[in-house]
This record gives sequence, C-alpha cells and structure tokens, in this order.
Amino acid sequence: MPAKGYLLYDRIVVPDPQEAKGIYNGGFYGKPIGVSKPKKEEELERPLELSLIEGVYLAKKSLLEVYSDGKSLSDKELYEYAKNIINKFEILYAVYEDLRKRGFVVRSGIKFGADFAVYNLGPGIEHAPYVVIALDENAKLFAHELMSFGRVSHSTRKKLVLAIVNLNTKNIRYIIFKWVKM
Amino acid sequence: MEDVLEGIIRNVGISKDSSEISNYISSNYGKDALLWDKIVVYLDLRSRGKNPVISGNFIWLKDKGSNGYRAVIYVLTENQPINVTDLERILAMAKSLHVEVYISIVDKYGDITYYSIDETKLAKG
Repeated sequence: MPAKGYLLYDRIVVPDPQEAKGIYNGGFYGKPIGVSKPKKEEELERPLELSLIEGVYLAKKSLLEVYSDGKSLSDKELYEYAKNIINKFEILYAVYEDLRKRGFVVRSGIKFGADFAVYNLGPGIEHAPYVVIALDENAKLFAHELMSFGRVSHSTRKKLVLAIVNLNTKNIRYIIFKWVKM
Repeated sequence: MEDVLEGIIRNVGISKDSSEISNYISSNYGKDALLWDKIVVYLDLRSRGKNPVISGNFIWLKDKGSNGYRAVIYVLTENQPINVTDLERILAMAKSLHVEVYISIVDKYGDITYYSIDETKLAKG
C-alpha cells in the first residue's frame, strides 16, 4: 500500500506518522515537520513534508499516492504539474532519479549553493561528499556562474559535480569542477 | 600595435622562447578576439614555471619529462559565455589525447582564476 500524500503547491505532506516514518526510512526522503535533523526514531513519527521532486520519484516507484483537491494524481500528472511550477524541473528530476538509481541519498543542496547534496550513506551519518548542479546540455555558462561553482566547491570542501543532461537522449554526464592553483 | 604588444612581452621579462609568442602575436593580431587574454594567461603560466604553448583556441602545457603535452587550458573572459556542449567537446578531446583540462577565466583587470574539469562516472563509494 502506498503512503498517502497531499499536494500543497510545491510540497507534499504525508500526515500519517507511521507512513511518514516508513517513507523517511526508505531513503532519507523529506523532513519530519518541525525536525530539521532527525536523530532519534521517535522524531520520525510525525507528519512528513516532501519536495515535489521526491514526490514524483516516490509516486513513480508506487510508494506514494498523491492527492490534490480530493483527487488522486498519477505520477505523470504530478510530473506535468511540477514542470509548470519549478524552474528546470525536467533537468533536476532527471539528475535526481539517476543519482537515486545509482544508490545515492539525494537531498536539497540549496544550503551549499547547489541543486543537490549527495550522500553515500545519508545525512547525520556522514557529511555529503558531493554537491551537484544540474545543467541542460544546451545551456550557456557565463564566467560568473563558473566562478560561483568554484566558490561552492572550495567553501563547502565538497566535490562539486556538474550533471549535464541531454533531455532528448536522457544521457547524463558528470563532471567534477574544482578551483585550482596552477 | 603588434610592436607595442611585443614590447610588453619583452618588458615583463620573457626572454626564453620569446620568438614563439612574437610569432603568435604577428599571426593572430586582429584575428583573435582573445589574443590579449591568451597572452595574459601565457605570461602567468610562464611566471609559475610552466612551459605553455598557445595554439588555436587553447594553451597547451608541455610535459617536462617528454616532448608531449600534459594539459590543455581553455581561456575564457569575464564577458564570454561557454556552451555546455563545448565543455563536453573539450573534455572528449582531452580524453583522447590523455591530457588534463583546465579553464582559465580572465577578469577585466587581468586576474586569472583556474579550474580543473574532469569527467567522472560518479559511482557510489
């Protein structure tokens, strides 16, 4: 039985504490409401908020059923909805799904100036070894963007990975970008 | 103007192989919008004890132990964007030549920042 989630603009809330705990423990998805860094098992027994990216991924895996205005949304409907309200959603989702399929735990990287923070084991167990910025293969990069990428990797002491997505072929290439002294 | 540029090169203390950079200036003056930026990077690399060669869109670093090259540097300025596909092409070229890839960004005051780029398979460790 998939957990039940309710769409609230750009979030999905799983209200049932047991379902919420199951989802979180399945791969560090979302955040128990009011607990920024859950450490104890009992902190997970409360409603959970998920990002739309996480919601689409879990819906595709049939682990979550999302409701909006009393109606259940398919994963495709949720994906189309997310495309309309999140900038570069297709690019972000392609990278998120690929990293999850590779076995990584993927969380928001906004605190590090990136799209994703990527863990081998999970938050609270280790520091994220990578931060990832997702890019459309057809995009242009300006010097100030490249320099801000360099700042990200240097100041966070994490490896900055540029994930370059070709939406036509679904191919994703990963490039490590690092400020260096020559 | 070419004389002025060559005078600048002489006055910053480049003596060894100065004919190489002089040849580059005389062949490319008026044709390459990044001419000055490449010279700035070239001089910076020389000052760091490297052995750079400007060729086409790139600066190559000679490998001290052999006659080959060990790295390729793509020069960018503050105002010039790069296509992501170009980054991929440079990486593919470097991979086939077994050389490292760097990007140098030259700002409006001639300060240079270097970045390394390297494709990874990103396997879980």
